[in-house]
Amino acid sequence: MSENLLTVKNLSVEYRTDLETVKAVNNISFTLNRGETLGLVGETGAGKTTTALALMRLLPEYTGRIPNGEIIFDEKNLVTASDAEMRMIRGGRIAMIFQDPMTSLNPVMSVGDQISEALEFHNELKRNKEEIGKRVDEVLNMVGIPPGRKYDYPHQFSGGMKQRVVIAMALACEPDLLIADEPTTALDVTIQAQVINMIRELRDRLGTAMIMITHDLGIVAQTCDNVAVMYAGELIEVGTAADIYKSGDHHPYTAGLFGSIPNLKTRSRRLTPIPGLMPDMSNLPPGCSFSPRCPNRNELCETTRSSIYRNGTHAVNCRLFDGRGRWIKEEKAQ
Amino acid sequence: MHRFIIRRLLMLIPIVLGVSLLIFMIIDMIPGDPGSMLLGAGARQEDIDMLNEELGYNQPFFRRYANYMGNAIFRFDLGRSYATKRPVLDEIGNRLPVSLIVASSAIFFSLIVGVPIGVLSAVKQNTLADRIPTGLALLLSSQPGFLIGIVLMLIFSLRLNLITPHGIANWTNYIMPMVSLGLPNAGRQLRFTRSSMLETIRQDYVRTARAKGATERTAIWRHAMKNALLPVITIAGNNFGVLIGGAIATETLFGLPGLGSFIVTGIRSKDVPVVTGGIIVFAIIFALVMLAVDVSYAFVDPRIRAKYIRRKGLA
Amino acid sequence: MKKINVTVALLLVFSMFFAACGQDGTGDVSSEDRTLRLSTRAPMTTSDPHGTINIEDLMVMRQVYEPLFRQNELTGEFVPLVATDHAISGDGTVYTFTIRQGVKFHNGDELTAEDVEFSLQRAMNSPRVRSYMAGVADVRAEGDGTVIVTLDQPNAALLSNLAFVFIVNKREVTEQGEEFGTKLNLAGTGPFRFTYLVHDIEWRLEAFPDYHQGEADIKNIHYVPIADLAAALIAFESGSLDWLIAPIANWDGLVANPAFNTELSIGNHISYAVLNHLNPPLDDINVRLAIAHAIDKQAMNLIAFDGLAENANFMVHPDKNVGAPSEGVTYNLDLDKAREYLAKSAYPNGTHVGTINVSAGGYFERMAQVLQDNLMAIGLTSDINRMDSASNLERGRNQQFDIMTTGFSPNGDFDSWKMYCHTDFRGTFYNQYEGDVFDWEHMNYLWAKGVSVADVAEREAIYRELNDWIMGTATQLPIFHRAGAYVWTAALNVPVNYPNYPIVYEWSWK
Repeated sequence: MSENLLTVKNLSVEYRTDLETVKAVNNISFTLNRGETLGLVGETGAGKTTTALALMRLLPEYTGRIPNGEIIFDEKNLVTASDAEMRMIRGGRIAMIFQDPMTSLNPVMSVGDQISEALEFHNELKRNKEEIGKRVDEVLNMVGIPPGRKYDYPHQFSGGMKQRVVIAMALACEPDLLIADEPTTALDVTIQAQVINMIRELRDRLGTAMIMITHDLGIVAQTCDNVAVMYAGELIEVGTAADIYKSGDHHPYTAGLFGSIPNLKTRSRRLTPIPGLMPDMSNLPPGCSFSPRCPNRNELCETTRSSIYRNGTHAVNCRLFDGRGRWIKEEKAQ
Repeated sequence: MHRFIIRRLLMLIPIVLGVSLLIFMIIDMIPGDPGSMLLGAGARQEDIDMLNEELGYNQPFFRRYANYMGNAIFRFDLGRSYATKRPVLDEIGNRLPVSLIVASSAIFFSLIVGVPIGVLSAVKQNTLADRIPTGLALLLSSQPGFLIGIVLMLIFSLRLNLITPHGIANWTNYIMPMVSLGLPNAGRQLRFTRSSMLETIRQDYVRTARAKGATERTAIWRHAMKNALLPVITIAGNNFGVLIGGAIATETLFGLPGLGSFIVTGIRSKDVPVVTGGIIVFAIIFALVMLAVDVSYAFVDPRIRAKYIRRKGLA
Repeated sequence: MKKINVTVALLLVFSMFFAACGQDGTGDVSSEDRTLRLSTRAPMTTSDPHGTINIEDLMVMRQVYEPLFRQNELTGEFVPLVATDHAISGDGTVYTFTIRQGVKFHNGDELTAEDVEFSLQRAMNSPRVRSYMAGVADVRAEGDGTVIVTLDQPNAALLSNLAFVFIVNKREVTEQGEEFGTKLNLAGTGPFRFTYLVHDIEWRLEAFPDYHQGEADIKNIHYVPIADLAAALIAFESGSLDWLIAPIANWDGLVANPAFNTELSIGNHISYAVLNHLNPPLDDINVRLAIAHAIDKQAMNLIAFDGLAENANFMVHPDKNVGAPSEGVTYNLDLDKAREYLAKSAYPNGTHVGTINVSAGGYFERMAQVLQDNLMAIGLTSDINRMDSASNLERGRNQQFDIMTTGFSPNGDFDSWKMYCHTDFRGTFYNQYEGDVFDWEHMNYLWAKGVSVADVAEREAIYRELNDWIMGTATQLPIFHRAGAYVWTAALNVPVNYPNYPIVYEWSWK
């Protein structure tokens, strides 16, 4: 078994309707090793969820397309895998938990049934009913829910507990990779902490690799080994947690993200957001997608695409860094 | 749950009283009196007066009402028809089964035809498998019931000579009414199921099911259907209640002695016992059907069940 | 896709199954025992012959119960049934009926004068049929074979009225008491008796073997109620019925079909227009006379009745009713005359005459439309108001209308028109003649005189005066006598079709 679990190469995803084509994800590449956690950060609409759905091949049937790229998961290219193969993988080897626990669970099925359903779909161990039942109990224990509650229905649980059920459902089959799409966004802060802690604990115990999709830099700091920052469908900065949190060189967007976090300690009158909005994804500007909002932009940024500046594990996709790692304030046209 | 059911059954009493009072008042307001209605255009005034007297029509309103309701509640006697002198309860006893059979077979038919096709068209939204059924459903549900009935009659009775078109002598007599009532209903049911399904398919928990590795089929049938069908039950129950008394055109066309035509004939001749008795029975049955629907809802949807059944250890 | 295949397969199987099942009464039954299948437009309301005046009920009752005399609807002659003979006293107030001997009731009892006395008295006290016993003061049986009926005053129409009063078995009626009429009974003397009666569904008759004129040729009759005319026609055409009063819509098609016999016979009925002289501008006699001369009976006939009706000059058909005059005041289409009258009226340039009330469904509506057109031709505008029959007639009886198109059936004697004219029939007539516009007392006097004499010629003279008087008011305008359209299977022998009541006793299978 190699260390490398997932390699995404030049993946693009677009949504095609009769009216327009939205290029939601543009040529992104990243890797993930077993047991590692990658944080996928960005604001709403950046393409994070789309990436996750693409990995699971859960894009909407008629409108979502993967025009190019590869998703190599444990030596298998998921882009070209058959439906049957994908079904084996979904839930069994790659599991996903979604943002809103209130609606993620089927209201007319007991939680125990929903968890055992996952086990039934991936019953390679050929468990019988009793064994499945036992496993359900195990899994509920794991997330801190008394197994006696497996006959209860989702509406009988609070938000935080529902999310724990969802996590239990996802981890029941011991997948290699867990994709968590903003798992705590819909929960209040104290519950958030509980759930994050639990996720971390389980991940450590089971050795599951994880892609943590979030816009909350705090969570990223607590849970992730590596970080990828996404903007307008592209990865504009990638690196280890240390790279992102400590290094001085950042993509202006990343800098903006950090800058917009309110500080508990110092008093401030106003927040400093990043001015402007993300571009219209069906009509991307020819140059750097961030250029309209970038305080450091120049004419070249607006018209040509940039190259990637690498420094060990740290990569930044911005033309303001030349190969020497210094910030070039002006650049004459070559 | 028992308390809920008992409470609803007790509510039948004010319903019956209210409905009957309303009917009595409305019939009183219709111009004409039973004597004239029954004796027709040629009668002499004294004959009309004599008949009205005999029927007890000349007594004051509340005395008539009290007499009637007293008999109805305590002796289960719904009076005798002014026109035929036969006891109303017996007549209803003969007609109710016919209406029940017609209504339930029609609803059954509409569910069997409408629901699966509705599900199919929702799943295959905007393809031909969706457009054709939806179009047909629109066509069918906008037909007057008797039009379909006559067409069926022409085909099956006249051209093919397979079924006698009237009466209830044979079980085959119920087929054409079932289809002529059921088809428009199936159309409505189809559209309703479709929209309910479309909504449900988009729900997050269906996506969760797929993410767990469910086949498309399982995701739809096991997860979406169950939820989508909940409102369908209510609609079907509602329609059933309505059809029991409301299938008058079909009853007339096919010569079915049902509850609806019974009441309408009574209205025409201002036959107060028939109309009041018939509508009271209808109201009771409708209320019971609604109760059954609500109870069945509790069985199917655990969220509703929780409201009615108190369980220990609720989080 | 699989589902569709399965459904198609099931359908095929079902149709084969049904094809295998035969139909009632065709093919392998001997023609002697073949059941006659008939329909009525409504379920039987009662099995008490004194309990209904519904024509649908009476059509069945007439096969089962008998009056003293039946009046032949076409010729007017009286056919002795329960009575063999009658005698009228000189002053016309005492009728002596000789009762036929050896008549059996369906339950086996022998008919006696006591049964006749009982039946007539019962009819006098029964609100529905007592109008037929109008003017009768006393009914008394004498011995076994005679019944004496005494009147307050002479009434030449008595026999025609008595033709509507059925004789029933005193014992059985008394035994059944309140329940009589709600279930099957064998209290009649007619050629057929009930074997099965479920009022809303089906009723069956069998030929009564001891019928006093001999057993009928047709052995079994089944009746079913079919309210919808189209459904009834389909039932007939598909072979479920043997005889039908058909809608005239597809008449030619039915005539052309060799499997069917058809007959069109003019009934004893009048379709007419009523003008309410209490509402202006109809209070002006000239307006009414203008309207009378504007009505195009030919067009009415063509449009409302496919041309199959007979144009009427009189409200009471002269050939089908005793005493009805065949000459007198009539109105026919004459637009010049119409305009003359209009010029003499207060509205020489035309005006809005009001609303034509009509019962919805049926040919009266079409009549109303033609009438509206006719009025237009002389500059009179009008609206049409359709409503359900009960409300329409109710308004008619309360004079809450301007114009109506409607109809009625006399019962075989001119006197039966009285109920639409005589001021005593409050709540029945549409035209209230009482008041200071007309000499209504004279009209009432003529009505009384008409029944006070027995001689038909004398009566006709009186009624001619009466007819002229009423027509002079131009408030009731005869238009046409409709035709009854009869259709029956070629295997059935129907010698004659009566306008209102078929006599199945006269029919036979070929």
